[in-house]
Amino acid sequence: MRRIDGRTLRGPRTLRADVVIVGSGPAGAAAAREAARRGADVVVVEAGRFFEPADFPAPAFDAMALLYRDLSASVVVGPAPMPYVQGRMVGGSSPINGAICWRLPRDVHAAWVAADAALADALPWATLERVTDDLEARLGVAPTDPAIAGPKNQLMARGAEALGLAHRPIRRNVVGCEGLGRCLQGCPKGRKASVDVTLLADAEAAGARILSSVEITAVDVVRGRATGVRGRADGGGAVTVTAERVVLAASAVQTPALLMLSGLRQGPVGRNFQCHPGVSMAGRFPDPVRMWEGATQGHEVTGLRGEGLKFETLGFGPAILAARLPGAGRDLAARVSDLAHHLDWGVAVKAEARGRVRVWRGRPVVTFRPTRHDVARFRRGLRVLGEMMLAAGADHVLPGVRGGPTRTDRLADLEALERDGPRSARAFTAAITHMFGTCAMASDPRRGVVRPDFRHHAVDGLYVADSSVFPTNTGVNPQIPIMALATLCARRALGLPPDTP
Amino acid sequence: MRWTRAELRWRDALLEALLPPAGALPGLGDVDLTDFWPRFDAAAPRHLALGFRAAVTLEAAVLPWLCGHLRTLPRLTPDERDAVLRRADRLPLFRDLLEVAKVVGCLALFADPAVQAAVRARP
Repeated sequence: MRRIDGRTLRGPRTLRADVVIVGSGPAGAAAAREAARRGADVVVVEAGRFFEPADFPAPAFDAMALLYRDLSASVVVGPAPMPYVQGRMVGGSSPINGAICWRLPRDVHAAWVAADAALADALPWATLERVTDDLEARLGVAPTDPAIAGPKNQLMARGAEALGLAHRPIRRNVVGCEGLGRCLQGCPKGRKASVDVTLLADAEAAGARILSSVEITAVDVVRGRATGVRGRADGGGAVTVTAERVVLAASAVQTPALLMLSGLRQGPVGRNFQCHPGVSMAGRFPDPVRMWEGATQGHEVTGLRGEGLKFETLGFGPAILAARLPGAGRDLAARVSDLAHHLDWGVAVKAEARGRVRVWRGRPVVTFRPTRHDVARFRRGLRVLGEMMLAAGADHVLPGVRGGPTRTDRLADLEALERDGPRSARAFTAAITHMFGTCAMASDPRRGVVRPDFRHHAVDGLYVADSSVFPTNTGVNPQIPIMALATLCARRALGLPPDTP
Repeated sequence: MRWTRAELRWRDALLEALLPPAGALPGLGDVDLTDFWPRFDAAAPRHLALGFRAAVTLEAAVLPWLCGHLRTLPRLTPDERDAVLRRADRLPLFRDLLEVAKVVGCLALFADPAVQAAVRARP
């Protein structure tokens, strides 16, 4: 049996494999595919369960309760608490993300190599490009089809064009998208080429077993060597998987927490937490824009990526859009009754701040404090968002900044927001996506948790495949680079060089 | 921990005031949330559940007093409730907690299929 549902496991269960992979998101799926296709006996363990497209609910609350970790309300602790979003299902966040695909930017790779020359051989650029080509072909990555883009994406193109900013349809891993705008709740038509139906399916076809609804709580280590993992199934049974190689792919929050819970506190585990905090702005347009229709996230502005800013259309359903509008009481109700005319665009910031993941009462706690430069980027990003919206024809914009104007149609107000706006991150409603760096890859064990070959500095047979190993944040959506690096991780775990054909 | 009867009254009054009916959109007071609350209690992480409860207590029982009313939110007129919430938007702690209540309220409102249909319907 290739799939084992942990909800049915009421008694103890032990499995044996060559490679056990903890986590089935982009990293775990890519590592499983690579290892299984190269002949290894692979077991993937996932805390969430399998879902089929017919299971994906339309109301935001049902989707968040069913598919997201902690109802999508996990929060970083700090002067400006911000939610961070993680999926909890087979496929990780892939079935519920915006399907945005970027290749690892060359400048980010160059910065990694400049900081640690060993990474040039460990992560050869040409190999990464070849692996990425293969992944993109498998995932059907292509620019958003204008026929299903919808007004919110077309308006961003118009606004960016008017401001002279480089922009483009977002490249997404969808095949036959109908523009239902439901990516964040799981595509009910099954059109997203998420890793559960692509890379994991390939792994299963090559013999990998998938153990769902099992939360791994410890990595077993004997005399400096990883021997497997232990956890508990949702059905109540204790689960043990013994393996020659243990690959952690549970995310930049869960992976360091699992290491710490296992007593593996060597190196800067949990430190160097990096992310892309994002802020958004709403705008009201004279014609209905129906934000919940069209490609969920179909257009982006790349012209200010050098400043650490990347702008995207957003694709919330009505509930989340309503909650993000300013005001309360009759003011809010009036805006909500006019919801079809409102939309929300976001800007993701390549933050320079570093946070930390710790464990408290058995659960990860993330602390993060944006720097003043990060807050300046929030202000700058919001100004540009507002200018794009007004250039695209918005009646007015709703900046959503405490201490700033509630609504405005004046460019001067937006300029003042950037120049004189709040210096405290608390004034902004921000959310975190894309987390990195908490088990960073480095030659020096004082600076990294894993070696350049993804192997733990202190424990043989233990590898980390997810974005924890990224030395820095990327400034772009990282799912494809995560898959690419995880593919190389799997090769290393099998004792193969990274450029093995 | 179970909510007291007073807390339930405060919760319902806060949500009614937060999203009253407007245009074709029903208010939170018009929607049957009987099915929503057990699902929310089951799904909400502890910090969100506590935050929402704190929001209900402070916004519905404390804030009206700070605004000069010697009554809690359920005993205020619709105009008074609206004025109290506008005030909350300008007070740091109350503003943060109001955001928590807003998120829960919007999720609750749009969990109702009839509301979803009303908003998504094309004119």
